[in-house]
Amino acid sequence: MTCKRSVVLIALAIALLAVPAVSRAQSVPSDSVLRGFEPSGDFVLIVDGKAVPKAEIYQNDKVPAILVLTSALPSPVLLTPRAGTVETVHIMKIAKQKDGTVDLLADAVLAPIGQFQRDGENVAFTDEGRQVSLNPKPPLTGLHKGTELKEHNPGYARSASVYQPNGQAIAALKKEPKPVTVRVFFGSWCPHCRQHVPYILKVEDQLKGSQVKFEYFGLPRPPDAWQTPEVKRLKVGGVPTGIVYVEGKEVGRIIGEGWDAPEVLLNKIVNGPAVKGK
Amino acid sequence: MEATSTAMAQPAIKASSHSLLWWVGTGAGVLLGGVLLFAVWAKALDPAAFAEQIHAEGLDFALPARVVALIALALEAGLGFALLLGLRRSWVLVSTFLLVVFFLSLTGRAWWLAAHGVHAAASCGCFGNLVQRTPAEAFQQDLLLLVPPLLLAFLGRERRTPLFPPVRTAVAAVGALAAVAFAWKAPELPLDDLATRLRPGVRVGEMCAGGGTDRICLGSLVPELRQGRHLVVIANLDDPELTKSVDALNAYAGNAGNPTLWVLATVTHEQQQAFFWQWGPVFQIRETPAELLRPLYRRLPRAFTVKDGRVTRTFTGMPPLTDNPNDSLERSSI
Repeated sequence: MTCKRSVVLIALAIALLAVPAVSRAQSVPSDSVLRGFEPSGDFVLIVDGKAVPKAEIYQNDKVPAILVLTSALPSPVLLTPRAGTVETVHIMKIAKQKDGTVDLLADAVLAPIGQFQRDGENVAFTDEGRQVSLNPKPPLTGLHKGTELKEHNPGYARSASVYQPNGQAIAALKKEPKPVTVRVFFGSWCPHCRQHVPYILKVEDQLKGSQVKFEYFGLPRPPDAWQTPEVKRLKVGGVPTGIVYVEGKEVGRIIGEGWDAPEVLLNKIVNGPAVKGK
Repeated sequence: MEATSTAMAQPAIKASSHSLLWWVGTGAGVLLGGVLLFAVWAKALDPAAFAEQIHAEGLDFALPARVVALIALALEAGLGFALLLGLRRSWVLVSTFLLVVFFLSLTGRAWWLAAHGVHAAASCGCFGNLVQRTPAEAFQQDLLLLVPPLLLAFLGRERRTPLFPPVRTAVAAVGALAAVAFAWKAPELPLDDLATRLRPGVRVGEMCAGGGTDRICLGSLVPELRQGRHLVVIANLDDPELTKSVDALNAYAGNAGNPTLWVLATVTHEQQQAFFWQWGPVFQIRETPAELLRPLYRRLPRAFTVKDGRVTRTFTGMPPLTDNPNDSLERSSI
């Protein structure tokens, strides 16, 4: 009997102690807007001075909020701009979706751990004694393959997966007998590249095994971008710019509105204007 | 009575007696005057942009750029009116000659700098240097538009006194003062649609900057504008008028029934990130080159609504976010 009473008292004490902790934590609203976090390639996570390249960083533009998933931290971390709050959420309350996005489950509890400090475009905070900062990712520069772009910014892979190239143009380009090279000048920092370069990554995927090859030349952040010798030599006026070579000779460029359906313009450059645009 | 009518007829006989060269010279002077006055009108509508140009050229070393702009407008307007009134005295033509030489030296210098790989300003975004006219085109156009009429205006001049015909000189002086007064007041007048390329009816694909292969248009920068309803705000990200409206803009953007909200700004990626962390916008911010944005406003912020790629309404300052945007679009007569 005494033992039973003790157990009840201990349980009651634990429950009373837990109340303040629960009241500090915040449940995700039932109409949860904390859904649809998209992979972001904008940031690099630094924990105790060391970069964590494997960290998965997601961004939700509707809240807005940044979600960081990494084994380098005890729990996933949610950062809310403007409010400056840093909160943790249990890993089991995070659901990865098939389309690559991430949701916080409706019963997820957000536990505040402090505020982040802003220093220009960097933010820093402390998580259980670890010094954590989220900095802008350095730009991808020089010559790269499409797969490297997707690794650098997972958002590129996601945007590429939903783009549907013009079937006629792809079919015509697959039949191209001469070797074609498309060199795409881009800036991983440039929002327009983020929007349009995934289109050509998808085109590249669909032209695998054909004579059409793609390479990607990343530029540093401006104003250095426009001083790059390759940019000056080829007179690249902006990014993205795709220079099309047939048998090593430049025959045209994918620029401006051509990026809305790059495969259509590419086919027009290579084969003439037979295939109609979308 | 008869004597009076004879006297009245005399000037007509005199006018018809002018030589062909006089007619050519006067016609060229009137044409040149018209060109100068058109240029004055265009600059006076947006004196701030003209002052920015003066500052960029380094011509504000002695006086503030705005004062230099007003003086230049007065001079150009005075000469324009004088030529338009057929006043081809040496003081008018020599002053006009010096003004034209000055204009040509500016465009010629820009051409030389461009030809030698020296740019006045480096772009900070996804785009290099976008120009509406190449420096060579600008110089050639100014040369063709100004020099032939100026040279022809020297033809067939008649040596007459006085040097300053009172009526025409007074009209030219009043015209110069009127141009200054107009330029002074123009920023407060509701002339944004007239003074800029952004006005109801314009398609987003027609708002462009750059030439040749570097040409870039709003329709390709924000392709989403080509379809559906949108509200676009042109702003500086550090403008208090924008930052104090972030909550209202977020609320507007968060309402699924509203047109899509966009903010266009000439910003670097770093500035955009800093704004993100500080203000937490839920609306989209698109970096847009200054060369494309500058002709779309006289002062910031400026906003406009778009329906299926066509501008339907413009707003000076921040848009009225409390209004039902559907009503705003419906009210438009476009």
